[in-house]
Amino acid sequence: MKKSALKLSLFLFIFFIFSLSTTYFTYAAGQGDIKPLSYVSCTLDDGSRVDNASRITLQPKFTLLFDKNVVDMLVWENNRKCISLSADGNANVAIDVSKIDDTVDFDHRQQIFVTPSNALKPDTTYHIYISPNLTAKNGVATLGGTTGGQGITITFKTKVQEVPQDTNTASTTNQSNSQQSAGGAANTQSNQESTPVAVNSTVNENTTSAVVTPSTTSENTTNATVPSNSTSENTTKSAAVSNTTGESTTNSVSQNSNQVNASDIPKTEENKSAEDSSKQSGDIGKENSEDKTVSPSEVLMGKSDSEDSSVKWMYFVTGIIVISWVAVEVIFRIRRIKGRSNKPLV
Amino acid sequence: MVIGTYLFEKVYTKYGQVSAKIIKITNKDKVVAMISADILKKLMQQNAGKDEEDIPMGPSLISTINAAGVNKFTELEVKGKVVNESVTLKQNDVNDDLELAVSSNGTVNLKKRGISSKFIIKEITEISVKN
Repeated sequence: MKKSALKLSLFLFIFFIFSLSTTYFTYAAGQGDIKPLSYVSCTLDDGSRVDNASRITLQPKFTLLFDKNVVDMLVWENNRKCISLSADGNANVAIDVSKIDDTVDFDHRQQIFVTPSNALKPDTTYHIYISPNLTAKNGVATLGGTTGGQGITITFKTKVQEVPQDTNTASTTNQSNSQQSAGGAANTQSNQESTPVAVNSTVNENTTSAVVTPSTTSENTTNATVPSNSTSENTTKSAAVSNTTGESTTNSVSQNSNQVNASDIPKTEENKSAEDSSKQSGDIGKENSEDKTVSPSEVLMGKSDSEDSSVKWMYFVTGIIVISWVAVEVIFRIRRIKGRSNKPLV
Repeated sequence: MVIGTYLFEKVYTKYGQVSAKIIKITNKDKVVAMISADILKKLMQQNAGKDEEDIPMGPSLISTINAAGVNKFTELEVKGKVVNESVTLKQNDVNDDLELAVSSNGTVNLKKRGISSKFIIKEITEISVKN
């Protein structure tokens, strides 16, 4: 009984020491060898990749995915300024950079959302530039570590806007689309103005029409009798909601593509960011899903996946238990052998 | 262990909100961030200027709101632990002079920068953003 208790105590002691030392060395290794922040992907709401894509919608919502937490409050002020959008010729485009805070939803800590403040121009090439100064939550890992200090440029092209040929069809579609919009109160106004000619309301809303007069931007622009370079896209927003609100209540219906962007930012706040176009020719968006080790535990256990890590932790603990038990057995056997050898021969 | 940790976090968050040790930031009745005194202290250290005459007791309200992801607002309503204790601030009222002073017990108070100024709101529980 006494022997068993001693054995058990020794086992627990060795197990404890082994666990502590392993943790210590793991953390020491982690601090001295922090992996840099890596860009993973840029996707749209439907999951399609943006990198080098063409026919991107004119009112997209980009999701930039990284391999580390980039939305922590301590780094967010810096990070939101690291994202910029420009068209060919380095013309900056106003964007809203938003996040879902990690204190609200931990699953989205590696994502940054980018939405152009105004609709993009059709058939135009744009570049999303991510500065190498983008910093992870640990405050040390930056994107520049994986891009050689050059940042990342994601290039895409917007779709070609098709001009509707039938005037009546366009106006009818416009009216039906107006009725379908979510902002019911504003539709009264938009319905009244659903004429084939650009209307004269003074709401500051998104439009990509080239024929709109400088002082007014129409909430509904139907371009049935329009030149070829104007758009036929309807934006039926509520008049009370500006295009810079935190909650997106956009409900734009394209005549041609039938795409509807419903309110889809329930948890985020939007930050406007119009950055200086001091971008360099970085790499076009590349996927780097392998380099994701972050914390010391991940250095030890590998990539942190919700199911894999729990299994790996089980193996790890089991391994320590086995090693500790073997150590105890070896110690006791040595003691037994020494005890026998010390016995005087009779 | 995972379930226990999850439950512990939930309980801690709930307790923190009730005891005013965690500030909830909402926008249109939806929670956009939860801030504790520790984060505010780190924010203060980050934003502290070298030439400041007054020693800050916490980060400014505007920098805290920005860190939470809110850059555009028309009004902020700051609510305290005491029922019906709140103050509504217009966008023009919110500047670097308003700071979130962190007290030793982990609660946060709203005050104007300057050692002698009184607390505007004690033990803040929620900051509600209105666009």
